[in-house]
Amino acid sequence: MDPPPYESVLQDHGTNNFFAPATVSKEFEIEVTDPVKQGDGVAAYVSYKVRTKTTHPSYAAPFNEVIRRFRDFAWLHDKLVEKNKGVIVPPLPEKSAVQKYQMSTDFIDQRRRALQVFVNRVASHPVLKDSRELNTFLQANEEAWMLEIAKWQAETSAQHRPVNTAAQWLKSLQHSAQSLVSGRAEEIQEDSEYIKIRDYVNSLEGHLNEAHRQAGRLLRKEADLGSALSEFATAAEALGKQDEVGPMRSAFGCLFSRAGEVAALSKARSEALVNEFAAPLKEAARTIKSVQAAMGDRAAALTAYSQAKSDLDSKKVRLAKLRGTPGLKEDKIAETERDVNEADQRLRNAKLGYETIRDTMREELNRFQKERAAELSALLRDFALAQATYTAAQAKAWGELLADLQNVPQQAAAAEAQ
Amino acid sequence: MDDPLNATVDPLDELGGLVGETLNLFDAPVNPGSANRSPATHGGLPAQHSDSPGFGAAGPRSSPDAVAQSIDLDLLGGGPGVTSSLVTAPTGAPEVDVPLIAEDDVTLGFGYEPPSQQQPQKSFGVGPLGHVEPLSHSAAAHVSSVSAAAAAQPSPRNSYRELQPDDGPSTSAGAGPSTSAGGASTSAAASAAPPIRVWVRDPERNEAPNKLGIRTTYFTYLVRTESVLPGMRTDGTEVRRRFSEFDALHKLVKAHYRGYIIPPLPEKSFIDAKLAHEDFLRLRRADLQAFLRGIVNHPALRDAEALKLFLLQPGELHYNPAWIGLLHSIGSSPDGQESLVGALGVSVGGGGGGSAGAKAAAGFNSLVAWVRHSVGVGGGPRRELDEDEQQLRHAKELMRDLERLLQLCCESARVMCGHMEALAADMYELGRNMGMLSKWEETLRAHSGTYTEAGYSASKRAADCKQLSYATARQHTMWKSASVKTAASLVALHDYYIIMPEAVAALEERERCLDQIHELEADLAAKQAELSKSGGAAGRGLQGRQTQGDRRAYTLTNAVDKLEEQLKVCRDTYALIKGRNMEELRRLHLSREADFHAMMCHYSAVQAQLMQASADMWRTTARQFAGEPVEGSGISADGDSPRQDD
Repeated sequence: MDPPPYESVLQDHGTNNFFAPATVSKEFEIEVTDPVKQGDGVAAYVSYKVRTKTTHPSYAAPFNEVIRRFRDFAWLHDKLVEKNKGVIVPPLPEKSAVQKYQMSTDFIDQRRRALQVFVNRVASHPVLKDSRELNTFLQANEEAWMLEIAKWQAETSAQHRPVNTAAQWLKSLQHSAQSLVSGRAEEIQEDSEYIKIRDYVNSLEGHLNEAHRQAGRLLRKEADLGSALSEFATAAEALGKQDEVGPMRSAFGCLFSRAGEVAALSKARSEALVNEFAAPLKEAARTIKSVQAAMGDRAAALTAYSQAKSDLDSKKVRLAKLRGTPGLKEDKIAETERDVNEADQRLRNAKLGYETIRDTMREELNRFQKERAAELSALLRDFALAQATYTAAQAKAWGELLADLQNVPQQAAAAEAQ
Repeated sequence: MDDPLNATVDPLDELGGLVGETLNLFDAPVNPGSANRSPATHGGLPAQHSDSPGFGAAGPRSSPDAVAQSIDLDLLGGGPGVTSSLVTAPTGAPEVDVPLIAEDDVTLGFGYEPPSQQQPQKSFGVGPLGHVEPLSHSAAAHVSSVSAAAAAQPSPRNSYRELQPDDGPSTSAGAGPSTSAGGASTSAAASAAPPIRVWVRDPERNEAPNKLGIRTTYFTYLVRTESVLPGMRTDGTEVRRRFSEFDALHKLVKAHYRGYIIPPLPEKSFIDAKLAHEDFLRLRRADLQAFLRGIVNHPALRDAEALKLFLLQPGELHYNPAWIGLLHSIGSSPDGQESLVGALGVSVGGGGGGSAGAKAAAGFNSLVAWVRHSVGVGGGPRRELDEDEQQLRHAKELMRDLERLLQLCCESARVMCGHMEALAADMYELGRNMGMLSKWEETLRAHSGTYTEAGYSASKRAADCKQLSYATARQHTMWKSASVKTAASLVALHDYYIIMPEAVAALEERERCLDQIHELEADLAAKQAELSKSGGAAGRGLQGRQTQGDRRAYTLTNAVDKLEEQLKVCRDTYALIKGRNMEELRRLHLSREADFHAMMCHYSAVQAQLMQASADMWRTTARQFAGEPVEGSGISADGDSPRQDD
């Protein structure tokens, strides 16, 4: 199943639907609505209503509505990443401390849209849509939900205990020292196909950010142009008012009102484009981050795999040595053998883990590329269409102005005739 | 005639055509009058007037009697000429016989003296006259009949001017038929060619030693004139002129046509001129052309003697006796105003007393006089300004307001065009980036092979990116040319902005003249009071003193007569300038109306065209993205949105 393009996962988007998104029967339709500011000061947050309409068999009711805040979306995201290694989990919108405290309506609305896109993407993902986490997120009542969150918070704080990380770091250091000592490069290599894609994705991020930046600049320029136009029209109107009632005055009046119209048009449009053009680009850039996170997981699994392998190797060497040494206690040898077996087991686990991730990722990357192609196409098409409509509206406004202007002398002549 | 957008093809000429058409209404009445009255008095130009040195040597204050008379004749003769020719315009010709060259004498007319010598006047008058008179005569005869289509493009100095494709005869010739854009519906003579058409072209570098013997570089411009007027070659005349000659022409016209709004000349710019950038030359060429066209298309100014010399005399003008004569007639030192007032003061003092001499010594300028007058310390009773005068002063204030507003408008228009350009640049950037992205995706496709899934999607993305990159590149071109066209369409704002100071100057010319009148009236009143006093004294005086008293009375009477004479001249001048002022204001107002209207039509047409083209382009692009025809998008190609074949 082709993943839906960005805009088609938005339910409330109806302003420029020239191509009504193909109405495929979807399992999930999720709306994020009604942002409400809760609390005050530093602890203030915004809660959203998450309305679900679903045909998925594991859901009790076809309609459900829960109240969630940004942190809860973050829970969903983190859990999904944790449980689905190798899957490209749709990205969350950025946490922005500054903007959060400002809590401007624009920001909240943009975030609401982004969250809605996020949750719909999860729900349309072939793997993630069946996940228990999504189910919990969409259905859990207040109490169950609070419990989940509390558990999660406890876990994360435990995970982030500094000692732990330090120990892990030491371990990895030891491992690299081992491979240095053994004088061998890591035996297990990524396949070249994957490396190509990894490089591609890494540079894609830069490109997308650049595109987003440029789009933003373009939109700002258009807004600037709009305001410059209205300024000009104001100046022209003042100029026209300097004359007594006459054709000039009315002509400049025409210009003023039309230009005001056009300026309002361009303002509205540049605002709309922020949501319709710039935001998807931004989201695409964020998705790259998710891809990179998945790649990070894969790299970590690979490291664990090769670590386990070298571990096993060294254990085997040690066992061989012990066997070759006469007069050693049997139990020592047995212990080492057990070690070797354990290491072997670990290696097998690591291998399995890595291979699972690799297989998942192969699929995911294909899906990702295809999705990107579809999205880009839809995005650009929508952009072009929005431009077309907008410019056509402008052309109409200007054409009307022209007609008005041409009428002015005739009106004046008519007035004189009377 | 029905397609308004033709106007945008050649904006300037179009505007010119429009204005010309509108002005048609005036031209008939205006021309004969101005032709007749052109040799009027002058003297209030602070910057350009001076005591003519050549004349001074020959005996400046000895000749004016005849001159004053000739002026009177001129004015008297002009009157009926004006009225009679209001409708049947071309009959105004006979009055033109009064030599234009007589103006320099008029300068001295203020210092009226009994007739003694006429020789100096002739020595200047004859030479040029013999040469030029036929021209001016015939010109005047024709002006009215052909003036209808004159493109009264008023004033031009603008960086965008250069953008107009008004460079050659062929483009400009197209201006006539397309005049309907503004809806100015005077149909009469709309298609007639303007009587004189000029082009300024081919800046050329020259070197010549200056006064100090140092070689300096200057640029000359080829001035080509085509005219249907008799006395001019119809196949065109070409002369080379340098900036200083344009400058001199400006001064001459300004001095000879007090009260008219003279098209402004580009600023002198020593540094730029020395560096002689390509851009600078192009701009200046355009500005100079606009200046010349402004004069040529002005109903009155185009009869200027100096213009004919300028356009038609081959060779360098500063070797041309007629031109030198003209220059001498207005004087060439910049502080001419002062010396004129000085001369006036001296002559008044010579006629009647010490006070005027003191004034001359004080170097009266008109501003001081005006202040004195307006605060009422000038001695004379504070005069009520008549209605016209009040109106004109009000008009001056309006002009100042207008200048301010126009400046604002120009500024915001400039900003707007700047934004358009910036937008075009950003489009370009986006397009470039998209192009790069497309290439890059293409590389991926090459890596992963066309028939793999990844390769397929990559090539799809590459194609999309390329599509957008094409679209933005086209947008870039569109917006860029549109920003230029927008700027060109709004050029009238700038034209009027720079003409406003000239208009104010023309109005102030009249005020200065009025001040002179008030001065003279004050003097006259004083003299008359003295006369009546001394007359009384003489009546009461002894027999022996009577002769003395008589002599005094005689002197005083003489002085009073002279003052009255001067006053009369002054008043006539004032009336003349006032008439011109009002004419010009009316003309300016109407031409402004038409120009601004045309400008806005043009502007909105440019915008509409841009938007329509963009809409078409984006629609096509969207279609290509979708790979399917667009429907229900609410865009109708057939709508009233204007199209342009440009």
